[in-house]
Amino acid sequence: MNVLRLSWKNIISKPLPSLLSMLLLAVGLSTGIILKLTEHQLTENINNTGKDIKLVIGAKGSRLQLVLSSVFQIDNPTGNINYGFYSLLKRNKMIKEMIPVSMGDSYKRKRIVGTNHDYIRLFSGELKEGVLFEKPLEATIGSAVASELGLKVGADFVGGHGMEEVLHSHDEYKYKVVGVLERSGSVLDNLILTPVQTVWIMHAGHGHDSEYTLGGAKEEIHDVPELEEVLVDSLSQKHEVHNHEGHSHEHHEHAEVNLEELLANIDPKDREITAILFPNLSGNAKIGVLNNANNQPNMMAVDPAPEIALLKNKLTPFVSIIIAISWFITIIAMFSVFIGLLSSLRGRKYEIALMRVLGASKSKVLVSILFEGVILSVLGYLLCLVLSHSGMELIGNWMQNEYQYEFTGWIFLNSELTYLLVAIVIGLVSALIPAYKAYKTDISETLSK
Amino acid sequence: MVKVNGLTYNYSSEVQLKFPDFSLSKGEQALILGQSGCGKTTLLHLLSGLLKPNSGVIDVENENILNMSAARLDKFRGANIGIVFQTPHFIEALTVKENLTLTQTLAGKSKNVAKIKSLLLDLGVESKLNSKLNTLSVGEKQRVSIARALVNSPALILADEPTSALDDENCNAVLKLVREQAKKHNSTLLIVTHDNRLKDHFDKRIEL
Repeated sequence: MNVLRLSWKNIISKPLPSLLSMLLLAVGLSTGIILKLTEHQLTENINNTGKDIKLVIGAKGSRLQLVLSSVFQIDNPTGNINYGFYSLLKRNKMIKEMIPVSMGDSYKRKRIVGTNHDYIRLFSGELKEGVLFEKPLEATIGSAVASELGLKVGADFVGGHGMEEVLHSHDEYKYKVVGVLERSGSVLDNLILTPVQTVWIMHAGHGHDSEYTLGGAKEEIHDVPELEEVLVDSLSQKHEVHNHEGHSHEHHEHAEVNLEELLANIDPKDREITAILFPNLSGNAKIGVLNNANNQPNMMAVDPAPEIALLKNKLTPFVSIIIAISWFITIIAMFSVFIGLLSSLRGRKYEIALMRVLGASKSKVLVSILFEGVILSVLGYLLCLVLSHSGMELIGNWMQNEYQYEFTGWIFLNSELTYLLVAIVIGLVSALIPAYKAYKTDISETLSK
Repeated sequence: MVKVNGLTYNYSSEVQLKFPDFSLSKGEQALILGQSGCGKTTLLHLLSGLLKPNSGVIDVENENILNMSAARLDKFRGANIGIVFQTPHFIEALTVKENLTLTQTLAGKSKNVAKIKSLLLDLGVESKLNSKLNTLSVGEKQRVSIARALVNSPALILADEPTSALDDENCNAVLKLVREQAKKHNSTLLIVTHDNRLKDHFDKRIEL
């Protein structure tokens, strides 16, 4: 029977007060750890998602909303811009890469994004099975979409208009899953990706802006021949490929002819996208695009980095309040451990004297009480790990549903070890006065009572 | 074995206790008698080094305990002096066995469960080895406290009013047990009491 074991026995002999102290400490520390886990994953997600996007062009509105919706896929779009502007910018030799994104539809709360293959490359997406989308109505889905909705290659589904709630279903056209992406830990995991033409087909008939200028000269967009050619080529080629894969020839021919006709009949004014993402854009090219877009009547260009920094600044007061609450709970926990030990010692005064009579030195008695504080706090820390990580997992599931980002409780940060130190210090500090009182116990006086 | 000379203790500037000189040889058994408030328990605390006298000498096992450092005295007390209290107190969180092994380890001795079992057997409470203290009767607790006083085979056993709360039958039983066990372990026994029932059991009596 050593001192450590004696301390442990004293703790478990009073399970309820001990558990209360541990629980309070655990709740206080858990709040801090959950914040750390959230902050870490949020920062990682933001960095992974936004680091390569240097500029975003979208409809005029909130700059932050444009960044959140088109880069991070967590807000509603500010509106749409005409695809013609994208085509005009394509003629600019200084722009090496730009990616159209078209949003507005979803399937079971998973966003459908019209784009091209560059979008997948931007987030280092890789195919797990099937192929990348090529033709309208073909969809390549993220890993979370596949696992959560049970969609596989070959499956079809009907999308609906709306991001959170489907306002109306596009019953007339079915998406067909042609590929599933590997898990990438990026926005791709929760998206359904399809060519931008799919979005036009789904929304055929809703026309908007039409006038854009490039380099100051006004240009009215009536038609984009390049695009038509690419589209028709793509349709014909994929038609052949699908024949080789043994799909129903008759069915595809029928569907594709209809789509070709439909696409050809869509007024260029109605060919819209939500935003254009510019990876690796810098220097004069960036300034040029920025100025050009901002000169358009219903358009704006936004650099995501300052917007994200602004968002972080806006969140800082809330984070500070939560941190303050977590410390407040932790300090209450410290008092709880202190009061628990003190009242426990009052009842054990004779036991302390007895230990001294049996040969325990003053320092041994002091250490045994300090051990009690430390054991309680270490147990509180272990309980806090369980609470914080399972709590984070629950919050993560909710956040994933709400914001399409993957958050998990099953990661461990090195900074969590700091909380162990904090817990031990709390245990020691709260046990210090009771331990000193035990140290100073007058054995003779106590035994005489 | 135990030698006391010129021992005084001041409770305050007005109250000074002066104790008679006496000595006990190894294995000897004696009684210290006195009325309440005459300083019996104070003498016991002085003998066990829990109080410091104002003057005098206390030799236990040929060592003046008053010259020992606090740490040395703690160890010495644990290893050489066993105390039986009037009201038996234990560490309630522990079992009988754990209380007794703690007594061994605090005295710097190694854990000896066989000895604990043997002592409990002698005292008739062997079945209580793994019991919690709060499940024991007062009589059983007193027996376990005697076992605790003996578990390190101390040179000196001090008993503070061990029978004053007991009826005649239990008084005789406890006294018999303490004396027998002290004799068995060749320990010097000094009982401090105001209980006149014990008077005739001891040849050596010191009156306060």
